[in-house]
Amino acid sequence: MVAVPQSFTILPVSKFNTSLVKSVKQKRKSKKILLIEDDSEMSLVISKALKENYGCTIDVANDPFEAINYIVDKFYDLIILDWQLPGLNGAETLVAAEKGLKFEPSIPIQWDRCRAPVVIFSSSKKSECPPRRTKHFNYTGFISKAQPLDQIIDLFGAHLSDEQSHVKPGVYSEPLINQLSVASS
Amino acid sequence: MVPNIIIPEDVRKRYIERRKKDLADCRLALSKGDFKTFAFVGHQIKGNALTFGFDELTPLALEMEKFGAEKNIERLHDLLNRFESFLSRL
Repeated sequence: MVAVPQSFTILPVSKFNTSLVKSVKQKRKSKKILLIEDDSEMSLVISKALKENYGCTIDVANDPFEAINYIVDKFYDLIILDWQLPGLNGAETLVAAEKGLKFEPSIPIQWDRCRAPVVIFSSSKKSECPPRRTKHFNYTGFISKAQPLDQIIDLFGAHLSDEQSHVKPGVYSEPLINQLSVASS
Repeated sequence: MVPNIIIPEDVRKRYIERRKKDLADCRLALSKGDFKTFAFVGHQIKGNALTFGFDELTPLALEMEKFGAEKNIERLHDLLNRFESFLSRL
């Protein structure tokens, strides 16, 4: 039998700070998204709509190098990746981020446990955005920019609710290009 | 399904201001025979016009990419005039 110290008080359930519990639960539910998009107006509109509709937290990277800094600093539940970025394309950005993860000494531990789902978000055709295999990123879809905002936000919502998208590092069930689902061509 | 999202007016205004800058850039590019600008601007507008509720700009953007790739100066002049006319009506 374990002795409970004199100074230790066990609070009845009713005395718990319910608002704190609620906020912790909320925090667990709140998904983290990295939006990599060089069009500032587009990123503003998309991030605002995602926050308002899904209550997620969003970091916006306007160029590939800013994206790499975010990636080595945090793990994300979803990465939204524009393809035509200044300097590098989408695939090159994630390959560079992969190198960043490899050489950065103190990356978040989640990067060792799961792969972050990546949705390509582009005005180009799907065939013009060939992904490259990486250890930490799992390409899960392609969403065309050329459609109304509410449809875009709906499609992102479907990706956010897909719990299967966090595949363990290094697991590839089929060629990446076959894994991409086309939301709109 | 998320409800219809209303894009704030100030964001739409900024979007149009940027397109006016694009127009000026394209006119300058055409005078210099720089056709890459048309591919870049056309691609960007093709991707964002619908999102901001300016559906009429999408076909213009597609033409911009096409005529830019063809280096068709005459059609590009005409296209820029239509682009300017659209922006001035807003």
